[in-house]
Amino acid sequence: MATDTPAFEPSLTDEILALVGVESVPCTHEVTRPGVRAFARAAGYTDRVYYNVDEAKRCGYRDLPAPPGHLGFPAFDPEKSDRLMSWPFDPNAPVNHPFSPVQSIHTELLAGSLDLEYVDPDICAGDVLVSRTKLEDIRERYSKALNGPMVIQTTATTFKRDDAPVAVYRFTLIGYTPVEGT
Amino acid sequence: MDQVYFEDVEVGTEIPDLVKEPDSLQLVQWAAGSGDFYQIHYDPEFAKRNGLEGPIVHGALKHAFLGELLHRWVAPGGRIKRVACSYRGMDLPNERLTHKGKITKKYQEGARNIVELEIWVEDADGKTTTPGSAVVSLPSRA
Repeated sequence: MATDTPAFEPSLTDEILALVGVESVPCTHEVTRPGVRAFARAAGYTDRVYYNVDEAKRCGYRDLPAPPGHLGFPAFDPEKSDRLMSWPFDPNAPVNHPFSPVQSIHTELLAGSLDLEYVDPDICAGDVLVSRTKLEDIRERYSKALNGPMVIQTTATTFKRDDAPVAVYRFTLIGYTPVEGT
Repeated sequence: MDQVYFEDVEVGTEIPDLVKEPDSLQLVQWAAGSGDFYQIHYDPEFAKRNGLEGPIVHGALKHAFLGELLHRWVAPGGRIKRVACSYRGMDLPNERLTHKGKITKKYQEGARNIVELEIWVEDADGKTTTPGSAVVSLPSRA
């Protein structure tokens, strides 16, 4: 079948494609009361269970529960953490966090999808989680909307507490480089 | 809030909508509350240099809104097991977003009462920008 897709220079090298299946070094995330409140406030929650410890315990939680989507904050390190997303970044590691390796190919990024599955939904303030991110898929194709090539990657980040899985965060990220005049 | 029980829900039923109208203040709060400081969400010139009309609503914020939609329905006794969505269209600040859900399946898995839903975000024109799915557990009256 004929196609009008313009030719483009592939940016995915064999080295990058070989990263599929590779897992990152571990990253520590702290779930804290101020963090839970800040996340809940930002999303606009009004349920006091996210703000008041007594109310949380009355509803059966150990402490303030982490709202859906909140898995604590990566422990920030000014020498290692990513400026935009706060995750530690090791330049020598092939896969770091849900934004690499596409972040090293294109500077402009758009979220494609987010699938958060809980193994244990009762994540609460005081928990310390450890995550590892695995690159599940990376591919490149031409985008008419972006008028240029884009890279689409999917990562799966598994969060554990005391070495037991509590959640899997599967994220698709699109990287592109803006074309002048579009 | 009134508790919804497993026995009381039926496939095909829509859950109560959640309406949001995120403004620039909320996008900045979200940057701080989530740790996502990407400038396309609050810097108009940066967004335009990246081929966008202007700042756009964070995808993860819409995911969180869908989480709140589910939380309001299942709380206090239910739990959210999964929230998934795809970002098919961009949403702009100061526009009305309606978050919706519809029950697609209910079953028991061991001692747990599981309900699956189709969830989605509609923009002010009624167009679905963010389709998704969810799994929750509900308490039983028994």
